[in-house]
Amino acid sequence: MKHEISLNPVQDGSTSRLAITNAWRLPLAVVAVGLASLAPWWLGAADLRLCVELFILIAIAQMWNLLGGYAGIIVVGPQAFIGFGAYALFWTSNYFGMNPFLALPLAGLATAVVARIFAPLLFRLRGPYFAIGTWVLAEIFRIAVLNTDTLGAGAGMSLEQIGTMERWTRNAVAYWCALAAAVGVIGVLSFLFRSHIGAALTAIRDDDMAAQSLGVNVELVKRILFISSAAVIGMAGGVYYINVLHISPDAAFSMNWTAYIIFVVIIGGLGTLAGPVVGGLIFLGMRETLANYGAPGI
Amino acid sequence: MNMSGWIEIMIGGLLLGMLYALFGLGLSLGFGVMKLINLAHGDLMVLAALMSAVLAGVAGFNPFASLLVVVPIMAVVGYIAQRLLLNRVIGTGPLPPLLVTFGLSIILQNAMQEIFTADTRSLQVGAITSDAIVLGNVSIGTFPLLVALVSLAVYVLTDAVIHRTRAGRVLRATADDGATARLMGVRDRRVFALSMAGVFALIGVAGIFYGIRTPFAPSSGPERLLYAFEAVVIGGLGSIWGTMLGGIALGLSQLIGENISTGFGPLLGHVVFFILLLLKPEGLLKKVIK
Repeated sequence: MKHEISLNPVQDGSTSRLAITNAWRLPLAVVAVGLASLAPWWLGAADLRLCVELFILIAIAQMWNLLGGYAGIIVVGPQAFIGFGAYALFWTSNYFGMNPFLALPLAGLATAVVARIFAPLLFRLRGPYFAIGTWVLAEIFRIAVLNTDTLGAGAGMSLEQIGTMERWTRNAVAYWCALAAAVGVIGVLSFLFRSHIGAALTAIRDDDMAAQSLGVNVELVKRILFISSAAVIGMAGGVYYINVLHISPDAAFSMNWTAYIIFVVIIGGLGTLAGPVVGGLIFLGMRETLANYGAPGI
Repeated sequence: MNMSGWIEIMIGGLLLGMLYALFGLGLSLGFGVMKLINLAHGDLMVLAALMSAVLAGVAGFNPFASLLVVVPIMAVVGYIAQRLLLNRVIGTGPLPPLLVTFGLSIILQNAMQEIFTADTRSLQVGAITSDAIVLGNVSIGTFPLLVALVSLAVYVLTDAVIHRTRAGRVLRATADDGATARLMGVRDRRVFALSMAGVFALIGVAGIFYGIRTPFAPSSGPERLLYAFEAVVIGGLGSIWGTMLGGIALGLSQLIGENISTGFGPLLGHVVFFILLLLKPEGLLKKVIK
């Protein structure tokens, strides 16, 4: 019953077939990630950029899925954390003259702190109200940035320190960061779902009242998930905007993010680990092929 | 700032707040009756305003006169939307209704942008929007006053329908306990559809008055949804007069913020929303529609 709990809650007795695939899964994954990490040597800058977008979308969608698909925490304002993390990164890098990639952990930390501050307020709202509350948070950040000259106000900011890196290196490092984000998130989540915490999560997903009565501290689990997801989403936002080199409040805090993330999760499969990956591929595939017919970009 | 300046801001905030209360009423009812939060609420307001703009352009309708056409159309759209779409997601937990109405919001925004371009437009009603009533040193905009009176009238009417009519009794029964109401012969799906027709009619009224007061674009829906949402939450879930109070609190915060620094208004509104959430998590008036 350990494996596949996230993918298929209904198990049959014959686990031997699954056990074999599981034994092969890790080596296969290592080889795949190893090959993928060589991409900067065989892909052009434009394709590399698209891959960054895909991996970041997958990472963020995984976190959204963890919250929405498992913990029953619906967030319609993930752009609050995407934008906050990215702005934290841009500001830190520009202000301290820091390499933006080194500022990534700080961006994650700052986003975790801000999520920790707002969590007690947001968690006073239930269900759909919580969802819209996170959207209000994104609006607060957007308007605050619009009115803050240090953050470039409406015109936004450019990453000044990126010029110190050579173009190929910069693109490659951005790519590796994005790859690490997607692979890291999937790795941690698949580990999590096989653990004690995963069982608690599945219990919360299926019936949080019953989970509570069986001794799962539902509120605490939800808050920890919310704050750690915010941190990951903040870092992912940072990588995304390093890749773009420029950030503006209307783009970074745009509700388009929500639309894309929800699309990716729902099309791929809510409450499954493979869902966001499949959804991300379908989304970007559709966008790239249908772009000539007027599909919008992020 | 002098005394009369502050009085003007307070009155202006009160009147603006009563418009926000009108935004919030439909949302409040939708939640009270069906536990449904419609994320396309703001976009539907923009749609109503655009319909009025089209009527003005094509047939020379005054926006006030366009109410007579737009509001019934919205009601029919609401009935159909509930029957075909929203009834399917009621009672399925919080996620499906949010996803469906979020999708509706995105589709509406993009469709409106495609048809009407991203341009900002406004509804023209002539001199009334610049008129003011002057009392001593204090001047009050005639149009905001009119909007506030309309809002008040709509609230009184809604309250009367809910509490004094047979239809209202059925509505309250369904809201309280759908299963039992069904046992008593109430066709709850139909009640929901009729309520949604009422909610959409309210959206139509709110949308047109908002369009006269503020220039709007196909993308301005989400902001309006947030104002409506904040009015509902500040006031207390499921209480319609609470929504009125919530709207006023929001309007006052926004105008005070706007006078502290330009562009600060909506921000202060959102911040006050969070502060009130901290101080009074159950809302200003806590009472379910009963």
